[in-house]
Amino acid sequence: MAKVNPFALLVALILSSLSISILSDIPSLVVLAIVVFLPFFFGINIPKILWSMKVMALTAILIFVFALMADKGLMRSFGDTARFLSVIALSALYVTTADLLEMADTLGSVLYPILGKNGRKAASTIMMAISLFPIIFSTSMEMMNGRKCRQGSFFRHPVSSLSEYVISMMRLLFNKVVTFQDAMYSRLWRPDGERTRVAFRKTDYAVMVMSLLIAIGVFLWTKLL
Amino acid sequence: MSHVTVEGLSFSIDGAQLLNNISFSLEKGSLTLVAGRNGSGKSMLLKCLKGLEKPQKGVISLDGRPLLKAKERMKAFGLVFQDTFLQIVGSTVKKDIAFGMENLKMERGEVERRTEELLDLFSLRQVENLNPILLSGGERRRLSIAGVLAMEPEVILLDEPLANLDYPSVVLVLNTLLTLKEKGVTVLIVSHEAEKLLALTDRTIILSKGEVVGEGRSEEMMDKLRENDVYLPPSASFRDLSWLK
Repeated sequence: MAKVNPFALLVALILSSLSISILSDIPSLVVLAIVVFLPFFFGINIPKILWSMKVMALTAILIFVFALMADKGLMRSFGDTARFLSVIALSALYVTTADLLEMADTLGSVLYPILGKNGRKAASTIMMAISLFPIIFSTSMEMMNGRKCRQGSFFRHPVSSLSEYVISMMRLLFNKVVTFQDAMYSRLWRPDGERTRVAFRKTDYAVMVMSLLIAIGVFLWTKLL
Repeated sequence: MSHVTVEGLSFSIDGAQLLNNISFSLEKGSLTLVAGRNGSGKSMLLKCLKGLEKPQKGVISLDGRPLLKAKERMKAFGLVFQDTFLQIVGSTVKKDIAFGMENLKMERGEVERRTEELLDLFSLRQVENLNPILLSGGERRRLSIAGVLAMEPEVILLDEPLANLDYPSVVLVLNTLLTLKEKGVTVLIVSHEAEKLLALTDRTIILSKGEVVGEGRSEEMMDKLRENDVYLPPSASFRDLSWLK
């Protein structure tokens, strides 16, 4: 899945989500949800411990959604929950299998005809923000460990501890972000710049065509019912 | 004619003079060390050369042609940062090398051809599909250099290339610098670890408080380096300093 062009993956995501949204027949919806989940389970490499945490969190959300829709009937509620879960699985599959840079380029190329250079800037900004998450996480861990080593107790003076922590972290992060920005610019990256596109291969066309056929099939199936 | 000429470079910020009337030249294919204590202006010099900071005075020329715009210096000089984590962008080694070339909008075929070439040149073939976070310090440094070299700059600038590296990684990076020298790439290295780099370099420039206090052939600069608090093993000769035996 990681070798499919992100643009083709994006088209497949949109068409699959549409198919799931318009399908009202519950047995067909469950079959489609299972078909969607198979690549999700096999396409994503997540450590076991994270799986159990994610499954617990997801189960809690699903119970909530199921309960929310329960007044429309159990079968209807079950179908809506399956629909919700499928769309999340598809989105997660896209985000974890597509390369971040390529995703930004794809989004930029989709937004460019509508927003011009601002479209590319928006896509680059999203990509940059996501790239910074590991830096933010490691910086906050560094600071927490540093405070623990100096026997810092958050609970003794929580307000001043928290404000000190946040101010120090912002300062440290700012320096790292400036260096990160310098590093990106020094490799001639520009937020609104056009980059070499990822080549399309037969697999990519096949993925798009298959998604389109499934969407058309689902549409005709709902019409027949 | 020198490959790179820097004349009267001065940079100040908030009234603090960080670089003052810096002048030097680099020959084509040479490996030059800029040494000095912390705060002597070494990293700021690299930023001014690269175009990340705008000096108030001075001219930076390449093959006799002044590079007046920051954009021109951005293309002409490639900068390898000290913190490799902040410079690595790709999700795999291969994608990271290709990143700079894609920013230049090179043809996909040419990007792939150069990437393959650089993977072999920097011995990164075995890790080409690995996430760069999983590489050793020396491998990440080689990847950073490969990623910058991919854009074919005229000069490569390295900021503390041996920082936080263990002995095997230091040897790996030194061998990489030798490779660059053999390929005729002009390299300027900023480092206070002169004892590891001096024997590899052709010339040394010493900075102190933003000024050039010494410049000459590396083997003639040992006493001057010691005078300026740059560590060299006492009573070691120039040949003794080589880490590549």
